[in-house]
Amino acid sequence: MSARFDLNDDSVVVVIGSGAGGGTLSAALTAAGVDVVCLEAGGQVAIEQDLPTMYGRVKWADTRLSEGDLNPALPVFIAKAVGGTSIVWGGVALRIQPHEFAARTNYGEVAGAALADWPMSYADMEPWYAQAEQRLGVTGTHGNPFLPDHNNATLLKLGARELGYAQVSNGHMAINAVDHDGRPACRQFGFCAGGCVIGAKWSSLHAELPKARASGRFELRERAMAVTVEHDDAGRASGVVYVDADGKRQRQRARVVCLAANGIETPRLLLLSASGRFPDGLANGSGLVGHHYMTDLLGRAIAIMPGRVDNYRGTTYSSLVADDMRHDPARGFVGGYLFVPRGIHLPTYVNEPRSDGWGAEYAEVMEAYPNMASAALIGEDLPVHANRITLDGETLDQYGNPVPVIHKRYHDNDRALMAHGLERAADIYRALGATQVFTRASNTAIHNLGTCRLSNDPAAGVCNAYGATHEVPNLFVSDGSQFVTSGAAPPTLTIAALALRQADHIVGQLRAGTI
Amino acid sequence: MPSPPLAFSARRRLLLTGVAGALAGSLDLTFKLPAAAASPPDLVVYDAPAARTLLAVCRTLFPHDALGDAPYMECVRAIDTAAADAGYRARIDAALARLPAGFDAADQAARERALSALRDTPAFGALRGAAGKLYRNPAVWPHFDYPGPSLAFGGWVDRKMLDLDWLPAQTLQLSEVTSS
Ligand SMILES: Cc1cc2nc3c(=O)[nH]c(=O)nc-3n(C[C@H](O)[C@H](O)[C@H](O)COP(=O)(O)OP(=O)(O)OC[C@H]3O[C@@H](n4cnc5c(N)ncnc54)[C@H](O)[C@@H]3O)c2cc1C
Ligand code: SF4
Repeated sequence: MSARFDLNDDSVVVVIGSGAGGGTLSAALTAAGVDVVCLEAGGQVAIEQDLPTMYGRVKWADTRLSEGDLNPALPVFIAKAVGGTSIVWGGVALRIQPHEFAARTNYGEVAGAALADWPMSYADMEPWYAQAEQRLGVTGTHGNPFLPDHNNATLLKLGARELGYAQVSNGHMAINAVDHDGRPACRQFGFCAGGCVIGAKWSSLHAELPKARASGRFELRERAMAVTVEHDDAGRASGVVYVDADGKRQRQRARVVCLAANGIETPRLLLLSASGRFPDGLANGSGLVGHHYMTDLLGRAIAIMPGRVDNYRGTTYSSLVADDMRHDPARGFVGGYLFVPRGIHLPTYVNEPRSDGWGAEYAEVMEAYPNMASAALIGEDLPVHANRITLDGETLDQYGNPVPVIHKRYHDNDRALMAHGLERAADIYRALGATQVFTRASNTAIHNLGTCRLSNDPAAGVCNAYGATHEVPNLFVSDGSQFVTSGAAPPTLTIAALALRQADHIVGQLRAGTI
Repeated sequence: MPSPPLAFSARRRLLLTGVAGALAGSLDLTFKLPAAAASPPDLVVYDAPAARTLLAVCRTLFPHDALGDAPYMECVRAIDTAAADAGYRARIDAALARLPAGFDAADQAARERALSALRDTPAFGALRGAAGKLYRNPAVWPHFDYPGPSLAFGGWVDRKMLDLDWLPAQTLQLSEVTSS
């Protein structure tokens, strides 16, 4: 049952964004008896099994500018919808590895990169990872069975084993292999990337927002775009100004404000909230808000096999080749990467082998669709000071605010890792007789990390180890912006674990009356 | 119960044998356009000659000789709809104006050469994007053995998803990497 809170009710926690971070945080806070107002820029979307339609339906289409290596036409793909990008995420749910939490210590100094250790260790995070895995129902953990095999996954695993890889498994997916948490087992529809029609894949939409709502302590305001976080004379966050569904400006007062607007909009909101007291942006005394933008490295391999694969069948992702997640500088780079199989449907296949392919030769690659196998590479990219989110000096969005500019240039280490991984991916398919292999790095980001990094030192990070900003104690960052380094794993399990940990911390602080 | 891919594959083989001889052949412009320069019935912006050229452009970008003109005409229709925007139309018109005379009737290789010259124009990406919508059209899916949404039959969970009968003999046994 939804609650309703008064705009002047200053006892509520305001959470900005209803995606993976904001949804999990809201559900955990309300379960502990805290009242939450969640502001979500997007609306409810209906899910159907048509990928281009779904991408159009959820896509964050507000103007963003790109400077550097990302695709100027589409530097970033994230969702603007109730449930956020968790609607379309793939469900690969992996932990950041122990050595990666101390990347600076273990990798050493890397020129041109701003490596640092996380302010907490893997051991600190372990119980929260365990809780997150249980909550999300991650396969192959805590007694949850694995998802079944399909051709595309099996080919990746077989090819990897041919090359001598050992850490080859059915992976860890936040997709129900059996009924879990009131959500059904996966039917292997194969449309995970457009949203799961039955909610077998964990998402904020299907798993967290319903829990928050059921608490009776949760109000979700959809099509409510937060534009500034305000503070009082004491420098504490006092409320959030947002533009509502009718285009009217509203002010929701707050006891605590949590930003879970994904790694671009979160730092942007802080920069937009500059004031006399915080001239460079709210909570930006370190000058690091927006800096160290990381995307993870994403690559893909498309292979034409000697026989049929029909890789539209079954979960889009599943299974895992994990050997290369290790840190092994002998390969010519620091950090690591992994492979997961990736199903592709015909309507989007046209841009996969090449984003610009055409003509008779390319039509033959299209004709080979039934024989196509495919995998994705996900790897660690390094934090670089100059990679950052800034506000544009000229272009304004529909709310009258400067649009974000995304500055991202790959570090030499990133290029070396990608080249190594793509070559290995091609080898995997060649080992099984692939007649053609197309590999490339993606230049559209889907993970946005590091732009409000954690550090115990207020000069070296925006937030403390719990995501509270150093300068504004009742203002929290609750998404991937907190990451200090990206790790090889995709980010969402860590975002969920951090949200559970942060909720516990906020509840403790509220009870103690310190915020 | 046989799974859709198997059912489709018989049909696909037939199709491919049927068109084998025509693969290198010339364009089959079976779409009948009115001779006069009036717009074809459901196009708003483009007249018949322009539509014919756009059709040839789409077929050149993604040539599948076994497919008739109808699905490609859907792509032309998408261009026609987008051309309600004056800027878009100006870009397309500028590109079309640079195509050599006789483009529509030339063979694939000659048309590819002509289109290559447009590669750096702002229209090229728009044309490729519209022509690429071909693969979104359910009418062409059987040709590619793609069955589309699986909701109606309840997903693949109770059907075959693992049927790699062509693997080279020396590879590992499937059972070594599968868990089910
Ligand atoms: C195609 C795809 C596949 C992916 N696959 C995986 C995967 O397999 N594994 C993995 O770990 N990760 C994956 N990801 C990444 C995953 O989706 C994100 O890590 C996760 O959703 C981030 O959670 P979030 O809460 O930070 O942001 P989101 O889920 O994006 O939610 C942010 C929400 O905030 C809202 N918002 C933004 N600004 C404002 C504002 N000013 N006011 C109000 N609301 C606002 C947005 O509308 C959005 O709903 C994938 C992403 C994509 C795009
Ligand atoms: S394959 Fe499973 S998780 Fe993916 S959309 Fe289908 S039912 Fe949902």
